[in-house]
Amino acid sequence: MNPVLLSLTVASLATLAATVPAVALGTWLARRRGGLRLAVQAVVLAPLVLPPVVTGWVLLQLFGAHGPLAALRLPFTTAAAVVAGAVVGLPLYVRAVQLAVEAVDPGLEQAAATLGASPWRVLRTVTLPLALPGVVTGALLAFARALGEFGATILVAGNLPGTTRTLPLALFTALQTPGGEAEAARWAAWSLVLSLGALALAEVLARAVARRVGTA
Amino acid sequence: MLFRSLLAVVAVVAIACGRPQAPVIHAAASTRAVVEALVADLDPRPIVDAGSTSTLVQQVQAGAGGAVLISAHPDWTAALEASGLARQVRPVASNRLVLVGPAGTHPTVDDLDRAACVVLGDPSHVPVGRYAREALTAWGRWPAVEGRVRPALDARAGAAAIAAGTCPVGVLYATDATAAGVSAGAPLPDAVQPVIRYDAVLLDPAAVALFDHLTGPAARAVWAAHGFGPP
Repeated sequence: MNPVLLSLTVASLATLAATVPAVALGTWLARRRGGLRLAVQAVVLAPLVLPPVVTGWVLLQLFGAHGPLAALRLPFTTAAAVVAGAVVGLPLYVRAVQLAVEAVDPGLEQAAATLGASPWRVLRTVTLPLALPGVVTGALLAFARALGEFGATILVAGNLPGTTRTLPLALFTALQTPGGEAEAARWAAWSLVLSLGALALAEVLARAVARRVGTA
Repeated sequence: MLFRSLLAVVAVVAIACGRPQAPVIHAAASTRAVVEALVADLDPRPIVDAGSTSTLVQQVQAGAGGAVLISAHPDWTAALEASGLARQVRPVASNRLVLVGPAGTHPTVDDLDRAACVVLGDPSHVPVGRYAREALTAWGRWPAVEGRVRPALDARAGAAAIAAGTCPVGVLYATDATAAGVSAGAPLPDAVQPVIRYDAVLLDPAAVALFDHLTGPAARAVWAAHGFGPP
């Protein structure tokens, strides 16, 4: 697959893979207080503050030939690039969901509960629909982060043309090749196109969601 | 729903492309052009994964798999043998070190002594850098050069740095002095030339035909045409 298509695929799958954990963790973190919450939050946010190379190294220790998860044979596959993108995108996703859930009026949730709704139903029909704009924002941030991912990807997925050479890696490789400047410029232009496209899509989605939440 | 079917398509494509469908050759960066020439007519056409031998060996040790690895340094070949990943090893070519500079220049030893910076492969692990350090040490120039080294990730990246004008002089393989934007200067004296040996390493026993194709008598002529010496 060419780097543009591969980057789009990897970033989309990474965003998808991060969605369920991000919504679950974001909601849980928004509603919970105490030491366990702080510990979970620290672990979830770690990839945001760690250098991506460290994240990649940790993933390689986990999934590498001598790691505890070696049986999955993950490293140096497209799936490894997806995992790397999902892990580095997750903190941004969780944070956006968490802030949106915290902003939901607890009175509405209590009213639903008083009327006999189970906690799961309250979450599904009140909390999450109201927090949807935050979920959309989180998805965009995670997608953008996965699209730009470099350090963790090159460690855990390598730089195989067609399989794991995403846009940032293709640009880097072109710069390390004599006479590769024109190719590097082409990949940079494609990155700009993808990023602006993602922003435009997010704007459209955010408006659609805002309309829905407004009339709900 | 359109959205869901789109996701399904994306997922299927990604899973199908999870592992390369063609054999992978991990090739020392300096051998990229010759390896690509050797496999151009094969079907399926192998994927050439070019990088510094040090990076490629570490990736293979971490589980990257692959059919064949072309190593630019016997130490890295030995590392693969030590970890039990080398099924068969065959010396395939040799190379020499030259001074290089940006296109249109002809660097001499005076330029090497005076230049503000010198491009080498990273001497801590990249083969071309380790050979250069070995040669410059034998030549008595390493202490004077050491503080001016601009380390490159692999031999091709060193050539790219020279072409971009990063430094006026570098020490690289003779085969990389023909890259776009790079000019060959004086060769290093015979007395300090290290023995530069490329090994083909068979990683996947099923790829023995490809291994023979890259190392056989017909391949020797292609290696020679790209400027490599006999093993």
